[in-house]
Amino acid sequence: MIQIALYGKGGIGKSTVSSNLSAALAESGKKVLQIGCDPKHDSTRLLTNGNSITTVMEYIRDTLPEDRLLGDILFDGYKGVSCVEAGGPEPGVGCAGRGILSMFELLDRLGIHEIPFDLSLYDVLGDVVCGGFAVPLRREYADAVFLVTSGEYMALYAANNILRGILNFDGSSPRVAGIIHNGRGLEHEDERVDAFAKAVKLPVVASIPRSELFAEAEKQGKTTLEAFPDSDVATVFRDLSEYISHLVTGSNRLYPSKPLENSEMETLVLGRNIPVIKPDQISSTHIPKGPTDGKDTLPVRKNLYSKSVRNKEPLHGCAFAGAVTTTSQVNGSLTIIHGPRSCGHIVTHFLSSNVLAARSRHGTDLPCKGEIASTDMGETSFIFGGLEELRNKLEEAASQGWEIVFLVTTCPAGLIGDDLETAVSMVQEQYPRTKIIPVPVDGNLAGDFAQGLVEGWKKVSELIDNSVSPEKGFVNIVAEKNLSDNVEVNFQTIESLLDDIGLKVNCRFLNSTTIDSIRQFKKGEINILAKKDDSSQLVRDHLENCFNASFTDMNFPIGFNETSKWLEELSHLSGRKNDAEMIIEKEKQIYDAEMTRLRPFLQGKKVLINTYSRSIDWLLDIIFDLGMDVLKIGLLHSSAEEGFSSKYAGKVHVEDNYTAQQREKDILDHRPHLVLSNYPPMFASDGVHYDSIPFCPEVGFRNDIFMAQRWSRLLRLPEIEGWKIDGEVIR
Amino acid sequence: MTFIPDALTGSIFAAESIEDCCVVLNSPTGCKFYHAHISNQQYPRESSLDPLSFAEEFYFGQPRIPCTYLDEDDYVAGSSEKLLSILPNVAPRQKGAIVVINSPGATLIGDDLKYTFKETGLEDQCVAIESVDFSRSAPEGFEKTLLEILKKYVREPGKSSSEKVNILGLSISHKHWEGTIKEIKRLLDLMGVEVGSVIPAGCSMDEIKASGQASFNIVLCAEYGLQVAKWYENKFGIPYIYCPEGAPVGFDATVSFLNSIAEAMDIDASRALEDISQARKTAYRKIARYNSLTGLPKGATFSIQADSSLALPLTKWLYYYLGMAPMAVKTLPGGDPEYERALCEFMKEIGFTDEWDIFPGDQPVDIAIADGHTVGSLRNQNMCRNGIEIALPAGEYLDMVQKTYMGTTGALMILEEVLNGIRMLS
Repeated sequence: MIQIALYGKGGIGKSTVSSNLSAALAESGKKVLQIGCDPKHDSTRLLTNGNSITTVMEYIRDTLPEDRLLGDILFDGYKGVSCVEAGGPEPGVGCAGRGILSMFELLDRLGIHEIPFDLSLYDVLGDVVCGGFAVPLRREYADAVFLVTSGEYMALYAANNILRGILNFDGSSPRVAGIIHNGRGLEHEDERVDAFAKAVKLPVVASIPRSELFAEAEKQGKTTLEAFPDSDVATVFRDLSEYISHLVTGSNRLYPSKPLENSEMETLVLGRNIPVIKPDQISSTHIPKGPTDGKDTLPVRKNLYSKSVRNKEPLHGCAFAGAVTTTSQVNGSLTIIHGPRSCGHIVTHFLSSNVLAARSRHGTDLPCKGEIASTDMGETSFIFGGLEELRNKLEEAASQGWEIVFLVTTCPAGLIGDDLETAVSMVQEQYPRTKIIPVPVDGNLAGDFAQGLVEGWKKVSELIDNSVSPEKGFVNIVAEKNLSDNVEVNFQTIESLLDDIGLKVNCRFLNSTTIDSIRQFKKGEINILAKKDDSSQLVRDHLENCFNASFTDMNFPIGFNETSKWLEELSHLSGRKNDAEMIIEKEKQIYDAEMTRLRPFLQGKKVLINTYSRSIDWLLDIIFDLGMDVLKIGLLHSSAEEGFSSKYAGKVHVEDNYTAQQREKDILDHRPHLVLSNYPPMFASDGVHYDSIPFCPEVGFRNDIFMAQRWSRLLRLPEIEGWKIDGEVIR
Repeated sequence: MTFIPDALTGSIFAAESIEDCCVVLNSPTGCKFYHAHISNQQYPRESSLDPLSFAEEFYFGQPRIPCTYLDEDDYVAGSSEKLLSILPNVAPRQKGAIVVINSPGATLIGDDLKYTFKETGLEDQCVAIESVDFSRSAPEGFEKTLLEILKKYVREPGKSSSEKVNILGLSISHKHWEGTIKEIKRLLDLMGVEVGSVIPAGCSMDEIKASGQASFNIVLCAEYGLQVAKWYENKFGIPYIYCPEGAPVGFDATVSFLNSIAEAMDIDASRALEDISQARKTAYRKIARYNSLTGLPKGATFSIQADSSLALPLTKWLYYYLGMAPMAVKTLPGGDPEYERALCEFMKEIGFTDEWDIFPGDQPVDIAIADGHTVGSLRNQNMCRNGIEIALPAGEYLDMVQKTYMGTTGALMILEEVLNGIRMLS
């Protein structure tokens, strides 16, 4: 069997050419299958007495997968030509290209390749050159490709684009059968088509004259071949059918694709060179310019970009997951995921894991959070758009009485371009008491996980009531690490410290936060960042710019030194300096006593640090207080943080872009007593102990003591634990 | 609440179940991190989890499931360039097949995966899964992908067929899959049946290639193996054994399972049945003493959310053998229609119609049987005294001793968890 694809610009007459060609091939005794791959689904109409057939897309939409049968979508036409129409979604929704992909998958699954056709003919829209419409260009489908064109510039441009598509698939291997010139009766049309054919080194295998017979035949719902079998036009198609027969036997050859550059096309077809205008040559006079520097003065909407997005680095995680992690922290809200179930599974898996880990590792119950639902987009939504399912889900949520509904989008929803605003406004009109807040991050189209956190925070901040005034003694906690299992333990520590100096937490923005608490956000006089990583800084910027929020410089403190300083600074604001001093004095005695006890075990020991974290002064504090030596800090590439700022800058050697090889070399060269890493390496080396640095350490006075106690024990334990030897065996 | 996995997860674990096979996800990293983590947990094949050991492009610090880290540019321009880079990078580390699976977003780009295989000269090593029916059930994705692998690699059996059998319908996504293989092999060995390979859980590509030689295919969990069994039958004429009582969970279903095999293969099951008989005696002595003090376990309550092949035998067994009351029974999507029908009928017969097809968290029970997250969450909410994890996602408990819920050993294990669980304070 030979498979042939006919590509051409929309409206060029491909369907007429395809069905006449199929008719001619069938007349010559061939068993022909014609598949229309144009959403307007009229490819085979002339073969079926002008009747429309059920399209594959309609069938996929209306029939359960296990009930689908080939006989429901494969129809007999003129002279036994088997006809299939792909169809497509309504204009403006869904993804027609995905529809073509689904059609080919379905036909394959239903066994169409088991039918012994002599020839399959694909009639494909050539204007759209996305992956879906390029499926028939794939080698497994098309053995030969014909370009159908008139002499109009845009038709030739589309033909050239198709050649570019074929080149992408094939490189220099021959698969183009030639050009079919469907004449429009234009002046110099033949010359233009011939010039193009010559330039791309292809033959014009058929020239179909403009003829009223086509319209006459169409009125009868027939091909010209059937309606006017003795016409000249019919002869052209019979000749073309003969040409194809010779392709099968090998006496006609295929050609490699040699498309022209756009500029060559323009010169060739339009007869002129069109230079590309550079931005600095002529720009629009409608843009207002600054009087002195001549630069554009239009206000550019600023956005807050995560580290990976602003540096165009590989994206770690997706914005969708980040956004859901944020919106799901709002108690009394529902987050609707507009996407496939797998997206919901992944995000709820890590949110639930965190809840379970908090309980099992720290004995803390994470307070109630918002609920999550999903539209469960499937194949049908990919093709036809997922608005109906979305609207149903929104209506369901609103009818259940949810006060706030966040709507977070995934990659497929973004790629098919579902119009959220229309769906939202329709439901909002019907249910004015439910506020629907779209978070259109479109999977990772908006960026990475960190970007999603930021987008989520921004959207949730729309609930903040700007008219609320700050009240003395209230603070907000901002950007807690919600996926850390000690988030609640840390909060409790901070809340207790704040309480000791007369400060109350107003709003946790955002962790298990009520809608009312968010509305009252501005009641918080001071804002405290949990951590100073990149995404936290971005939410700080947002809250400062949009809500005049005032932040302390210090984030959650770790260890004695940081916590003492933090308490001192905050007690200034609360006017409870004495209380802070008393607490610090009490803790100092504990700290000093432990340092004195532990120093003999650890003094003079060499430490090698490699870490993703950029804020490790709490760790360096304890190391230096114990009299240990830092050989080097190797900074690993982090998607969440950049730079390195430390009060010890200049005192310690810091190496950026640290690697596993460098670490191994440093260990062999310097023989540190202790190697501290976020992930301790598994290899064993004599005289070296390994330990981990937590990504989210426990905050407050005692964590450094805990670490020092641990190291003092660690250095007295075997350097190489027995189980590690088995790891060597596995390797 | 954790959403139940869909066909994408099923598809990934079909390929990741094979020892020397690897999934390459044509996806953003968001689809990769979770699946790579679970694959590495369920079937660790590397000695370390140190991300620095897997710092190369595409791996993102994880030993399993490299991905093309699609971004906006790729969605517009296509992902071929990244695929052309990733495949030669992964291929030298991989003895077996590379299964390239499109994420939901990638299916919309329409890249020709097979073209990239050809361009990289890896056509023989690569399998393309362009779309996995997103939002449909995990078993559907699982069987679809497994069939693609089998169609490409299973060799014609030739003249000499083997006396060995294949076990079908077990994946690394099944809880205690390694212990289950050991137990099923042990029971079949007592019947003189040798297992050639377990497809796909832990098997090698060589075993896949030779699997067409088996004398019989035995289906353990029908959701994950019945279509595959039918394919082997159509393609190679290998008969399959499907037990109408479900997977061999509990004494009764295990007896039924072994009898089905004995009947189909015309062999003697007595030694294996004796094994169960001995276990029943052991169980009797323990339960009798427990029962005489407390009257339990009769009247204790349970709830189940599991694959139909597990839910059917377990519900019936706990009801008949221990006299426990099913307060909520729900099967996971993609269940075997025969089992679902049988379970629904059973619940009706015993007068528990209202308890059928409801989520196990709606009322407190003594024993909750479900995935690790559901069990953990019910425990945290004091909605059960004890939970038995029977599906993924797993809880946090690390199993060092190989366990199973199937066969004789599995039945005793379930009894142990049920009896001890009922005694716990809620």
